[in-house]
Amino acid sequence: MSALIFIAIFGIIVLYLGFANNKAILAPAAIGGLLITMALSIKDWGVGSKYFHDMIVVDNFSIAFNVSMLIITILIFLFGVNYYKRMEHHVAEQYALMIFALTGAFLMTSYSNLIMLFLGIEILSIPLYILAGGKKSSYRSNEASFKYFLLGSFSTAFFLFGIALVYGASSTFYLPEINTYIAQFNGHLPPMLMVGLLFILIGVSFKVAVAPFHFWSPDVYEGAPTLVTAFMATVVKTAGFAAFYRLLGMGLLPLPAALEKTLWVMTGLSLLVGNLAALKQSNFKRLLAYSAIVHTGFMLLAMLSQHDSAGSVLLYYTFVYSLATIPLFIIFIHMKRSAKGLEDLVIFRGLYKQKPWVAVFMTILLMSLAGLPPTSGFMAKYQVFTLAISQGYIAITIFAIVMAIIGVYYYFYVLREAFTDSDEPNPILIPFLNAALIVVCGIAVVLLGLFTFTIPI
Amino acid sequence: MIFLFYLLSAIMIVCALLVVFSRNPINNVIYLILCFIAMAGHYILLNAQFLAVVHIIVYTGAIMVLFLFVIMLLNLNKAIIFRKSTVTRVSAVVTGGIFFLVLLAATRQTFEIHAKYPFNSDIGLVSGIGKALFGEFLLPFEISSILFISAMVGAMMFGKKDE
Amino acid sequence: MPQDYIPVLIQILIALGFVVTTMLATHFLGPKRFSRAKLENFECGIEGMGNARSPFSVKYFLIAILFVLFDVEVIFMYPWAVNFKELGKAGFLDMFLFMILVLAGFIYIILKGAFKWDRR
Repeated sequence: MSALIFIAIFGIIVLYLGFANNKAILAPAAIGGLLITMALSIKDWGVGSKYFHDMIVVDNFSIAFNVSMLIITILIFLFGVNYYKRMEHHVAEQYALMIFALTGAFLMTSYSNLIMLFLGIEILSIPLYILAGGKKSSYRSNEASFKYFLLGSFSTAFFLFGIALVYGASSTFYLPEINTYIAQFNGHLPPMLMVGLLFILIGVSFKVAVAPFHFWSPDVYEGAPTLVTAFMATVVKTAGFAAFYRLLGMGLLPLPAALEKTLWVMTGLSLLVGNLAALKQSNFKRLLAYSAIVHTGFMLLAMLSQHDSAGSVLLYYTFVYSLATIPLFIIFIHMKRSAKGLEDLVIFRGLYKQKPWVAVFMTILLMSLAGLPPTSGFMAKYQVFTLAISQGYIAITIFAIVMAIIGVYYYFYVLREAFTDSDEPNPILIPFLNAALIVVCGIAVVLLGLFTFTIPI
Repeated sequence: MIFLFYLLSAIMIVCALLVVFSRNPINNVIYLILCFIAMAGHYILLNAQFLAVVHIIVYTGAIMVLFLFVIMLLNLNKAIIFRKSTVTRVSAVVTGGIFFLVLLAATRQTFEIHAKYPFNSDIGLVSGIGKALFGEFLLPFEISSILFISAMVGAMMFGKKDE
Repeated sequence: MPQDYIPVLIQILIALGFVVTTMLATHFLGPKRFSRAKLENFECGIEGMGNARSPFSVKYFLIAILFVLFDVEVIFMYPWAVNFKELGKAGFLDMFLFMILVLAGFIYIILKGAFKWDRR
């Protein structure tokens, strides 16, 4: 709880640091604050308590997810040191908004009341709508912001309608009470409750971009500034899945049959739609957007299994996925700068010739995303598959395995470009800090695969 | 009471349809205001007096003025009509129709739920809301200030010219 | 209770009645002489030209949107003010914290210069 209060106030402090007219202190200060937040979070480990009339539950699950998101955000802020060097205006605001979004993410991992979930989603989303439009002069950035805002508020409307219907049926906002209310029906839910639950599901699915609620994500990922895209692809997805798991895995187990079927279809669709669209992409950010949709499919499969260890598997999956995604965006931004603003896959051409070590680390990262053996991406997918099979979801797991194999194609397509020689090589400059980030994340991705962790949640 | 309910609902539905079908943007906003006023009437019928007043002040007062501002900002003298392809239109109608059917079916099959809380006509008064806001819902209330601040930051970032 | 709304109803009726009566009265009592010069928007000065709805500066919009934000924030004060005595010291501190947080936003806006009208 103290971590939540601290990070909310710290966001305002960072906002005011912007008036110091010294951009150099922003990133270190922000990272320092996040480290303090992390210490405050870890202090509560194993205690497990409820606050403010049971609005907030701080347990191992929420702490583990919060710490994972904090680590990812620190990596993104380290990336920001160089990224925001050329930006003159509103740098403090960018950091502050990301910290505000993190506050919302904290609420999403630790809510026990649907009102808190709503507030968490809003506090996460509104800074993101603003951040997506961070490049004011760029037409595509404006478009991304506006598109995200319109579709996001539409999904929020569905979500609120769902909460209203659930409240109308069960006359409570509290997840445990909703759970006991559902249990008395023995699987035959009243239609109003069912529709309400489905609407809540739609609202959360939109945030994590599960097919068929994924249409915003490629456009927004492409248009938003790269650092914001990295934030959206990692922290937001982690927070969204934590909220998803708290809703379904902790709140509504055993899943009503209709919800289970819906999840089943959404899993299959995400895997299929994401993969098919990714095969056709030539823009790297769009490719990663579609690959993110495929990854949500795998994460949904873990959720579908309704096993107690699904939370731990989800944590491992999201963390490993985020660790592999951020350095890829870092490599991408430097290739983009050397190619004078192009975002196509061809910009990776000649990478091996000029910076062989970057190409090697890129191979490791892409292998992790594709789920190939020595990396942690493989272990994450392996855990998901064994979990799903152990709970009897054979058909969808086989489908997911096939989809994972298809996915290897487009990740290696990017690699092929990186190892091809370029006709007119542009100099690639990677500052020390970013190079260190790439190396550290690359090594971490391999090491986490060798030493998988599970957390008692 | 029942008569009032149907009257307000009819006004709301007609105004909502006019919002969609009217071609003049200013008229759209005026119809939306009428729609909101009818909705405030519904709140009063539901014994949510404070909500009704807030709805009038914030939505019909402040937010609708913003809508008018946007229309003037965009200089929309004539409505721009976007022509969509037939496939889009048909699929939109089908999707909307299915959505309507689902909601209709859900409401039709809903059995009467015995109220957990006894009926209390003072429930929507300001003092009751205050007690709930500063009791059970204290944390959402405080944390919503973060939402306000991020909205302010957004307004400043987008609305202010960079020097 | 429905009868509690009778004062509100009377108020609405008086307000509407006043407007309708005055409008009707001026319509019937005033002299009616129309001429082209009389129907002009402005009786003196240069001729009106162009469209009345020309786009205006985004600065007005910034003020309007900030107004809405603080308007919503003030709404939270009514329930607190009505229960001021019952909520006591704890309620006062809760509101104080909320106001500090919102004031932090307000000061930020002022420092950023949202209300400096003529700066470029």
